[in-house]
Amino acid sequence: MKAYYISMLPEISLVLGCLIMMLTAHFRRTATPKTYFTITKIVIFLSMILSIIFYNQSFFPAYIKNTPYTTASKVLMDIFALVSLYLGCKWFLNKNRSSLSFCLSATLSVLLLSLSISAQNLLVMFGCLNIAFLLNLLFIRLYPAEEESAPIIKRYIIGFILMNIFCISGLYLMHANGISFDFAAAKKAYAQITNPSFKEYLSVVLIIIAIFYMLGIAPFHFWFANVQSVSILPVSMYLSFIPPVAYLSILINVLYNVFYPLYDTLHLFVTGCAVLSVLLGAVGANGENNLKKMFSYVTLYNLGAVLLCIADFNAKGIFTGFVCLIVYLLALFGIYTVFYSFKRKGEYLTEISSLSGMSNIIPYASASFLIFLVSLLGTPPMLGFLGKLSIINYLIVQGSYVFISLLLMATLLMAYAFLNIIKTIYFDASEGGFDRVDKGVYICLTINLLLVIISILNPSYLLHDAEPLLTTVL
Amino acid sequence: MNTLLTPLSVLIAVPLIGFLFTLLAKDDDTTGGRNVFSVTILTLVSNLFLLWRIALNLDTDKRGLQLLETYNWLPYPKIDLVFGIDMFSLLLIAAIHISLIIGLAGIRRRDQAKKSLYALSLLFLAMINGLFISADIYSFYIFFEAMLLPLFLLIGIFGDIKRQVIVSRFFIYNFLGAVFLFIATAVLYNHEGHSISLSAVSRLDLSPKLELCVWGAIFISFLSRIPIWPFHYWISSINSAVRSPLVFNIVNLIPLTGVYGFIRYCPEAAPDNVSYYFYILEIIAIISMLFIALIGLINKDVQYKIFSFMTVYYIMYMLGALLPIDKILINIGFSLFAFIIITSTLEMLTAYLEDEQDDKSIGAHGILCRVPKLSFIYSFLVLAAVGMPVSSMFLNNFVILSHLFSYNIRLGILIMLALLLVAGALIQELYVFKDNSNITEDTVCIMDISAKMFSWLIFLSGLLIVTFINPLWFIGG
Repeated sequence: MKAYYISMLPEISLVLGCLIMMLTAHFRRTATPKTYFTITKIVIFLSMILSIIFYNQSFFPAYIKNTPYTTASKVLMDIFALVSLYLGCKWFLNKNRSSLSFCLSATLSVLLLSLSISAQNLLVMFGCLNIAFLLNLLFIRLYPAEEESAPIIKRYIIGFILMNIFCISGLYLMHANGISFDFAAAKKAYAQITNPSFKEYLSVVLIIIAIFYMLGIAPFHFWFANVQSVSILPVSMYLSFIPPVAYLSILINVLYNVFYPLYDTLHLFVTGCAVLSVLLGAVGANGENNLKKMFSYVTLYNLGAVLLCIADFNAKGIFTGFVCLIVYLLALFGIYTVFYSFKRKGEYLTEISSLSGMSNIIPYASASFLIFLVSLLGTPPMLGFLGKLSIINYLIVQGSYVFISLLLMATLLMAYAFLNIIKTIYFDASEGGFDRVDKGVYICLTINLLLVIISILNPSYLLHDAEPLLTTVL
Repeated sequence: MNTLLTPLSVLIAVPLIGFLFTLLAKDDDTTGGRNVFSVTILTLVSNLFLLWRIALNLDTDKRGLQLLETYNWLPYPKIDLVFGIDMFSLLLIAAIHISLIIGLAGIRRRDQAKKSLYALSLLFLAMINGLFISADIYSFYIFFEAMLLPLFLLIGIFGDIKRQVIVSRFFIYNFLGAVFLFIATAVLYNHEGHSISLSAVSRLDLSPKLELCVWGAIFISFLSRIPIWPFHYWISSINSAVRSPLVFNIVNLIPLTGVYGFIRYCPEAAPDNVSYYFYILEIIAIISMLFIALIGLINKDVQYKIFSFMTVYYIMYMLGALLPIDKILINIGFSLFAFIIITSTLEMLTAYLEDEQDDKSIGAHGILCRVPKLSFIYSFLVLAAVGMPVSSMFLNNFVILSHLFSYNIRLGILIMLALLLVAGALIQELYVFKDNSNITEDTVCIMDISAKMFSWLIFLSGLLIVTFINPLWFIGG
């Protein structure tokens, strides 16, 4: 395949963005949180536009290859990154703190994740992913409560090392079995194996475990909720959207373009993890009083549901998973946007109990929060129903009635957790005022709500051309 | 056809527009909730007018849903939402609108007149209208579940229920019912490969095992809305605790959605495989009826008496709907029309009496003795409720009961007994209210209803009498 060096521009723009930020920090003493955000916004937006322009051109085709599928994933990631950063900027402005580390880490993270999404070689992919995962440490260390974060950071590092052991062992075993790290070559080699040995199977499972770990899929999910609980709001929001979109895209790519021939043996493992995620997510959400931690379990539940569709390794499964993912991302994004309005005397509230009687004080934010919560439950006529409908319909076609029962049971559990929040916001008496909500938060909420309403009335707008685009991964 | 501005879509759209207007309306101490009240009333009256126009276009002799509209909604899985209406649905929708107007009249004098109450009521109305005009299984399910959220918020915020845990459980348990219907709907859809009209569900050719599972799920979901054992507890705990007449009238409509589901899913007869299990349902239904009727008779709380009356009648309608004939469906419709108006008005007046009792710190004995207007209306409504020939309930219940008797005489006798017990409970309460044995010159009395309210109630009583003379008076039928 011919190399188009000009197609490096999206990545180059991100690198330039990082350099400009560092230079700004060095030379401009009066830089505000907005300065770094503006730079980040411009470079990510530029990178997104350039990715669309060079959607099917690659600079090192053997290692990094762009396809409509990878471009769609990057665009999705960039959009969420832009809005997360926009809202994150509010936090830094409110606290009057420097946003340099946050914006720099985010730009670098987007760069590395973009490269991983387009990677065509397992070594390149894991190289980028590892650095991106390590970058999360910078995020977690941003203005946390010292005594709470120290043990969590320690555990995060241990987890990172453990994940690397899995990853390196998997890659080593793959190499020892004589299988190339190149996607196409590896797929070809696996296709020739009629009866995989334990070592071959183990190598694949170890590699998938490494991706599951980063994605926070059960039973490798424990780090995610802990990190969310100590992170500041912009970091929580960033970690809930940008890396999961990238990891999920990578997972689908790897499952279909590398390990597809081992479908029969892998199916059980992937499905098992998916079911466990759904159940643990629903149970975990019920036991939490911290909103960020609770929604990290909701993320786990939803990722499990998406994985349940992907696990079947077919085009309809990917499409269904995509619908669930989009619906969930839109709803969860709305939830995180509303978190920016949970502010009392300049402090952002994270406990459910602190939201008592919120509906009387900030009714618009409360109503939006309710709509997004109900959407996450999949109750019609909210957008979430599309996701529930797609997944249940798909599982019925597959004849997976046990999974349907488990999924719906988990939804009931989740409903119970959400009812506690609704009860606190709507039924309890107010225990204190809330600060005025920023206009930007309202604008984001309104846009999100409009998207939700339009998508409910005519889901074709949301899903237009999604299926042919997604099947390019196959 | 894929258009949004057809009469049936407008039936859903008008309350939604009203909902938005209500949210945007100015509502502070200076307006005293007049703006939102006016918007809500205007919405309800507009829809009633629209219903009348629709009724004029309906062919009363034609069977099945008419004025069908299809809305191409989802490309994959391919789902088209189909709406249709017949006289039965139309009567119920009209009754619901009147019931809400009665509820609104009941809360005007209370502090509860907040705009979120009106807004949520209109949202609920949009959803229940959608349910009653659904012509296919998916649209039916969507509205069946969609009404739960406004219902939950209405009960939780304005129901004055002390134990909030009841409200949560109520939601979870209704949500579970909706989940069962969702499974059944999705299974049926995939079995046929396309969406199915409601009337065709009972005629589908399913394997015996699948048939049993699907119908089991459908039955559980509809039963979860009717206060029948083992589903009775949460509905009864909500219904007997709600103090706002508007919220009570709305909660009163939950069992109606269950009964309506039975009527639409098996208009003539359920599949043979399923009918075999009907006797279990009949036994449970009868036990529930008698049990709740007895409690109603013993219980001192007038609200519980109204609840027991309501429950017993809903179960009777359900049993009537399950009879293997569709001739009596329109009788059920006519009867339900009057039944909803009677229970709503009774509840409104009961709430008024309770408020007055609390204000004046007096008991219930002889409370109606010096309030002739209220006494007259209350007595009329109780007589209408117990089956006197003053509303469409009289003749139509007679038809329903006669069919139940001819189907199974023992079943008919037990139903009759339950009806007598709830009638006894209501008359017993009326007697207490009108008992003047302890009334003296110095006894503190409550205030009678205003002339405006009296006129409105007289109009409603007149409407009930007209339905007795000619149920299809509004189209000159």
